[in-house]
Amino acid sequence: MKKFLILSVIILGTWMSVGVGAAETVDRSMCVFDPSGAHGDVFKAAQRYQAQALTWGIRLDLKAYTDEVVANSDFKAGKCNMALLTSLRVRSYVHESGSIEAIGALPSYDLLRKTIEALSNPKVRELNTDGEYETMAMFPGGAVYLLLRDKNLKDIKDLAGRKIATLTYDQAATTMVDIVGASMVPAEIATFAGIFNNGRADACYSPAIGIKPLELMKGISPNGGIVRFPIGQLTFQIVARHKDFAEGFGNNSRAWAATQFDAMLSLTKKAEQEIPAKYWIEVPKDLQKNYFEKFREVRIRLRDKKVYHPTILKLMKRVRCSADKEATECADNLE
Amino acid sequence: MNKRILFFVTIVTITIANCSIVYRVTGKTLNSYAQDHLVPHYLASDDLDAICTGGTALGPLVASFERTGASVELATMVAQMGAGMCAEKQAQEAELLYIAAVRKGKGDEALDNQARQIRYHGIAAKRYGDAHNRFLQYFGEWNGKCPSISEEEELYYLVGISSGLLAILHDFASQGYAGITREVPSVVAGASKCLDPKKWWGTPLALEAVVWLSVPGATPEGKDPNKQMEEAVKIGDKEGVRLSRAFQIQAAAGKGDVEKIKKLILEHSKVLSQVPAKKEYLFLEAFAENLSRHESDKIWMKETGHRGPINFSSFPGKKKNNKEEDDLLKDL
Repeated sequence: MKKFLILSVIILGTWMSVGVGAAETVDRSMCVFDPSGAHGDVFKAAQRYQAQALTWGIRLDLKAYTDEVVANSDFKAGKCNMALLTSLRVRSYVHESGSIEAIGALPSYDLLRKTIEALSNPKVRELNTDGEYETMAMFPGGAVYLLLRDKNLKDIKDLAGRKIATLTYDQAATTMVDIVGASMVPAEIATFAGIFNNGRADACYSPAIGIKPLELMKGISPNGGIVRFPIGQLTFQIVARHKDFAEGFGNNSRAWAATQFDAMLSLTKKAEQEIPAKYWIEVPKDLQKNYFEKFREVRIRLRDKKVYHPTILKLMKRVRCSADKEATECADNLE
Repeated sequence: MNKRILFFVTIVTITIANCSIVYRVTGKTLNSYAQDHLVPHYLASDDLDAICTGGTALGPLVASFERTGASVELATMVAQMGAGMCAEKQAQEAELLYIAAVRKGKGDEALDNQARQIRYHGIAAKRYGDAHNRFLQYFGEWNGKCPSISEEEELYYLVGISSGLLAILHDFASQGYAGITREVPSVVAGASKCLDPKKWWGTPLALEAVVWLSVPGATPEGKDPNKQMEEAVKIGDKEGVRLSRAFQIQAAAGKGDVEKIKKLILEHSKVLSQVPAKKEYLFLEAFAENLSRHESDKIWMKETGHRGPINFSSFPGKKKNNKEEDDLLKDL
């Protein structure tokens, strides 16, 4: 009898430990790119994600990278299960979600929010998956603006023959430079501010959040300005190998990430408000049209070159047309 | 020998008299210093913790000068208002922990936190009530007629009536522990008419409306408290001092209308990013934000078990426009 009791206790104990084990959280890791490292606000967002992921049964180990190239290659090499990168990098894993930054496609934060919310709908999970990869979250990183040393260049046509500091790996920007007939001054994230500030380029592009830390005011002052027309929407996205996560994880994760939109945008909005009004160059309605048309030309060209995914361009066009049904583009079928 | 005693007594008397003169002068100086510098400095700071701790620590010292015959009502009123906020914050914390415990099904923990919440509401009511009494001491008991108020005194008048309203609301929440007289709401509603609503960011209108919304039967015929509140909020939004919003949300919280509370909190969050706050009154802005954040956290805690975003800009499980989204995603 005693033996039987001991046996029962052992069996029960084993069963319980198995039971507990099944309910236990699973360990995973995430490579996080933040230009400011573990002190930056992108890393802080990753920490909020880490806390949230615990409620979905995932314990995430976070690793900060100040160099996106290294973060990207570590993810590619399988050193982490997921990565928080800019959409430009995510595009090489998930063509669809990486196309959300398409040039000039989302001229306001409201349109960006609508697009991110639509993509977080569980019905369109496949728009977030590509082969073995899945985009688990999208966060706004701020609109990218064109910065000019001379404010008289405010029409996009005026950029012909001018020099623009351009990130060499940014295919959209290089195509844009090509289309407007400008010339490219090759730059990296680390060098473009210097090139612009000391006059080696007439224009560069940056989100508002970069303007103060990189002292881009030096390049703008005294005759330049910032064109108030978003070239594109920078986004941070979490990409993962979906086999590493339970089914349904992606849907939960994307839905939660969509609720973080305002929190993620608050620093950007503050940075935009802090820019003195005199530096903003307001673009008159007719010139806005010129910008929009050029941007559309670039988008279509890049779609044909398979840089942007056609379905996402189509979705973003629908989002634009839902806000402004009268726009001329809504009558054609180009995107 | 007698001469010696007389000499000693004379010395002591002179010293005591001098001391009391010095103390009284110090009291007066303190009071005018508080009016001229301390209060404007407080109001321009958005550090609620510093102000509440300062009020709690300095309040008794400032009030003690009353014993010397100095009038320190205004300085004490502001200090007690700050002290009231400390207790209010503690009550808010206890309330969140109470909600969390209910969610987790932990009865003992819930009851304990509820008890703490009630106690802190009681302390807040006493402190705000004391602030309100100093207001009455300085401006005179309310007799239905507006006292003469100088331009410099108007702000103190507003603080005094606001503390009255806060005292009564916290006393309700503490089950009457502080024993705030039930006349206060009518004093608040009446006295708020003595200030120009436009000049004071709509707050006098909001104070009156809260009383109408909180006390059954208080609304005069032909008046609509909700409409008046909307008007107050509009003025406050435009001026960058959103104290009226705090009172509006408090009134909605009193009615327990969660959907309305959510809507008001989201509006508050939105307006913060649209109209910058007035620099001289950051403290009132911070106070209003703290109330909205707390109401937002309560909803988050109940629905998710944790607090919400710091800028109270979203709620869990927000219902989206499904029809519109379906149209966007059709055949993609």
